[in-house]
Amino acid sequence: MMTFRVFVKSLRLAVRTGKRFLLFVIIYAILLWLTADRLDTLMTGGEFWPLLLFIGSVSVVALVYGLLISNYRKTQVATLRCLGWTSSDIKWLFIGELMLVCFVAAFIDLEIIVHYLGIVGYYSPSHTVPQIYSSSAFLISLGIIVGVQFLGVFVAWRRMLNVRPMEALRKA
Amino acid sequence: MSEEYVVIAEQTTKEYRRGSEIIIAVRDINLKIKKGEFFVIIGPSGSGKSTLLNVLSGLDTPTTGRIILDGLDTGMIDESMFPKIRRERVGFVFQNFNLIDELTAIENVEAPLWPTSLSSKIIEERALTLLRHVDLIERKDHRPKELSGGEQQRVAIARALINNPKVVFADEPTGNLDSKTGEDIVRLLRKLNKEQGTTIIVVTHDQSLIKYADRVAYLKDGRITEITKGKSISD
Repeated sequence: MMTFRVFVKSLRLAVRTGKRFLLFVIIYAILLWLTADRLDTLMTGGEFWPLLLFIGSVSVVALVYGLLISNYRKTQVATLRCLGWTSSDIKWLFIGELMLVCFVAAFIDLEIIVHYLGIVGYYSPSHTVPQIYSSSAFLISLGIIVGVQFLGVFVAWRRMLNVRPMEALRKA
Repeated sequence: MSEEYVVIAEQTTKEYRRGSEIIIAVRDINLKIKKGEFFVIIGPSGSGKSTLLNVLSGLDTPTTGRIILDGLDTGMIDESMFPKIRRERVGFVFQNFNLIDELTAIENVEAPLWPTSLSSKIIEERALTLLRHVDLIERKDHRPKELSGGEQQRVAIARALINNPKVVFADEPTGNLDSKTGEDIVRLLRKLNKEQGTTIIVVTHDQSLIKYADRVAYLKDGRITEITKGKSISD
């Protein structure tokens, strides 16, 4: 109950960060698209290394995002610790933000696909639509990206463990 | 009798190591702060005020001596117990307010209780009551950036009180405010202290706060040089 409440609040916090949230949603939407596309190619007999390249890119982005959040939220975390939040409560703040970014990115990709296919289908003489990538490639890619996010969560959380509550008392 | 006192410091010293040098930030502190007291610790910059606040509130452990916070010896408590103690017994007010920018005033006040088993409805009711007390009910849905410094500090005071703490530690609560707003904040702290019986310990360099205190401790070079009675002005 209380963990769920912290998780829900973390989603609200994430959305309200504005520019950072939007920037990473766009980055993840692009990476998800490219990963799904490469995975789809691999499933139909393509090469493996481009997929690895994109998974590597997602890992790097997740790490950067984790570091960025931990830096940005340092004073907040110190304050929350003064207010009695445990390390586990704080972990949910990061999980919420990183997961939300992934799912909003996936939603945007789906929206683009639906609209793109709608427009192409409408204007094509035979009203047929091209296949972009398979739904299984999309879902597996989303799973990979969500999984890789835990790398970011772990990095952010480990850094936060070193934040002592008394840092909240530091003067600006 | 320790029950009468909410904070007791016995022969407390805090040392820091800076490179090869050992710095004694506070030394031989003996203090007994009564329940319901408005206690002001005053001293110039670098006198060890913040270190003393850290140690008294259990945010830091003393190098020698001991601190008894609401009957608990902070040196004997397991590290994992501190979040629970802070959540149930202690409130903090910071010089920089330390509100979370992405949350509204009411959400900031509620935040300490989110990880507790209390229902969201009870938490909201408590937050609304406190916002009424600090006269900010009209501004409850505003974010910190939309509030003045004084309003932000009032939100921070409401947040410090949401868990009905035994003691509130305020670190230079007027430090980032103009003198008129600062005076209003101290009056509010004093009013809450009188009405709710919460012990308030204020660390400051601002001499104008003395008149509101029940007692004043003067800190110089890490030592308490004098403890006097304040004027205990309520409004």
